[in-house]
Amino acid sequence: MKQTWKELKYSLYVTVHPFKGFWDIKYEKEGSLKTAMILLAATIVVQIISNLKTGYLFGGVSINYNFLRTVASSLFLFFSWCLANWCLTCLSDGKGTFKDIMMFTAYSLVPYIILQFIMVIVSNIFILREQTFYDMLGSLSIVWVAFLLVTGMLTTHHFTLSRTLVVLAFTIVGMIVIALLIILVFTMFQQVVGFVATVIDEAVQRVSY
Amino acid sequence: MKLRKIGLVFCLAAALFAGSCPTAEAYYTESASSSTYNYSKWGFPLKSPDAYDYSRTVDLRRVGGYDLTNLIDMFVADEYIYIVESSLGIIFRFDTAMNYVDCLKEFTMPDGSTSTLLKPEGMFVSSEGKVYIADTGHSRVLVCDWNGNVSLELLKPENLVGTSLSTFLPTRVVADSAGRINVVARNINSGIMQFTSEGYFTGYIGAPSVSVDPFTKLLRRFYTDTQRAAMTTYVPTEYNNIKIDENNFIWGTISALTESDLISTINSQDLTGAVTPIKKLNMKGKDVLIRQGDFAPVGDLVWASGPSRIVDVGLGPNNIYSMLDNNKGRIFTYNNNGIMLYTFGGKGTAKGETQTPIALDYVGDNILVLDSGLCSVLMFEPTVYGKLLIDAEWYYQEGEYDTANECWRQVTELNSNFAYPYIGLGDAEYNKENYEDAMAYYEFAEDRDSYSNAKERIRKNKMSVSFPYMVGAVILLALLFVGKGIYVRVRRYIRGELMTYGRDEE
Repeated sequence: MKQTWKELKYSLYVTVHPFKGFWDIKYEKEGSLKTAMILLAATIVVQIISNLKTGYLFGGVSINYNFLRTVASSLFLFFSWCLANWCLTCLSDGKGTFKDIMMFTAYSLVPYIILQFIMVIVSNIFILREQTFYDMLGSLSIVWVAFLLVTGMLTTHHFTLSRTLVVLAFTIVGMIVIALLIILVFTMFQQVVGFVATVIDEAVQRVSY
Repeated sequence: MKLRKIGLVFCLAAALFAGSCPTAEAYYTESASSSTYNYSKWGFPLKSPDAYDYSRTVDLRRVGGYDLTNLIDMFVADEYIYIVESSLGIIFRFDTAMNYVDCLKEFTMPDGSTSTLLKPEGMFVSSEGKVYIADTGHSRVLVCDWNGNVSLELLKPENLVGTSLSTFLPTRVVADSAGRINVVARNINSGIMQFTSEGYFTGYIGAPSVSVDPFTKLLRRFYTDTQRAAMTTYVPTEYNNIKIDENNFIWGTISALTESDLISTINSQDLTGAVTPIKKLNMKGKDVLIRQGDFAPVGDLVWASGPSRIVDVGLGPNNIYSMLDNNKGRIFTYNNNGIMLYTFGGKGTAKGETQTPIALDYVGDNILVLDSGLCSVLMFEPTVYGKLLIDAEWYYQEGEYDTANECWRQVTELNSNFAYPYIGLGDAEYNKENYEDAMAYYEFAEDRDSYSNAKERIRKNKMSVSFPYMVGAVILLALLFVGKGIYVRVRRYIRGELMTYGRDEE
């Protein structure tokens, strides 16, 4: 427990000292997969809070909001990123294991968690005239996370910057491929189920008449 | 066995029912032709209670012993309604209940000779009773009294510059209270021609501005003269109809708008009036129409068979105005801020539907539509719902906000799909400084700007209470931090340590 608390505090240090931070997470046992999962959960929770509690002026609540959708999409994005990244970095001599990748990805999300939380509070205070600041916070959170992802990848896999950026681009392509594959599998599964159901239906009709 | 059959029938029925259920998309297509509708904030048509009821049709195929075939214009004065018959060249006069009174067909020119009209297209009667007739076939505008004594004959002005006009074809004419004559002539696209009361041409007003985008301008530089000549299609659109209100504002309608221009205006929610089927021109010819709705008044926002072709505008009570769409026979009514109140009417053969609507005017609250196809005048009168909206405008403009609110509250009871009255109710609560209630109304009406203003007021009120505490808290926190820093440094100093630099002091 104490260890986890210390690691969580260290995740804050990582956001401002990414090179040293990510190195320490991997090699100096300053981070753990457990903490990474806590951070991931926190991201999802903050995302749900943001969807539910953002002020009317800055989005408001949609009437038919389903938090499970947020959970699913967040988890899908996270794991497809990790998987695609792992696949590609394995091919391009990356030094990080799947666990390392999950860790640096989750630790990179810390600024997003903090800034989204601030944005939710602020969206209930700000008026439209202050929208610029609100939007700025949003952009800042995205840029910061992107920066941390790049540095995390760089440090974890011992890559050069150019290679990092190339792998990053391909990782995104990989994520899209994973999404397509999942959709494909689902569609095919649906077809099979539909086919079997039709056959059974037909058989039942034949027998009963 | 039997049970299973019943079950099957039930399933089939359910499937059929599910198939015939209107889908969500069907809601967003065009409404049935003559039912009343309005547009939501997002530009989707929403059904609304009927604002106007069809009351009766006045058949004008045979009036006063004449066979009328080609009705072309209608003018409503205080006591009389005038209708221009183009083929016969006769102007018919009716009372406000559309009973035939008399007609005007022969004119005595200033030199004593008599004259008739040849294919007249428009007319106007001033408050002093002067009759202005656009005698298109004779290329002239006549100013006379109702006995046909012509006081002025306006021919093609000699001082017409910068136009290759061969024949002068005036189609519409209005005169302001000072007697200045404004003429719309066919094939003149420089705007409305303005004449003094003595008939001297003074110039054009309200020329629709032509905007050429910079890229095209650049392209033109590299074109040959032939190419340039081929692409000079940047002609401003011409007015097809004009009206004048009691404050001497000229209302002009324009139907020659391209579909793509209209689509981009609607999609960008452009409220500048760069592409507009209606203009309200002041004396200088500047468009002063207020466009404060979510969309500019352009008629239909979505369509399947072409955009609205606005051919006339009727100036109604309490500064509302109605545009007549010649394409689908719709009547779009807006208030003085350009917010659509209701749209009704349609083409067809059922009662209250039109064939070729060409002119629209108000008689009091009632709407008269001249239909040249049916050769008749259709009369519509406001329902309770329409009357409430019209009255609310009156009370609001008169500053009787409480009464206006009562009207709007009743409107919301009849039609909860209409945002505008909720904004009115929100404004009322805002003015009473009930900002919380105002915010609820604004949220319901999706009016984020007003919501933001109300919120600002709340915040200001709260701030004035809590600001001292907040400042106190900030100062306290700052003191704590500074105090801690001093404490640490003092302790180090006492211990004789150097100021080491590192994360872990332990």
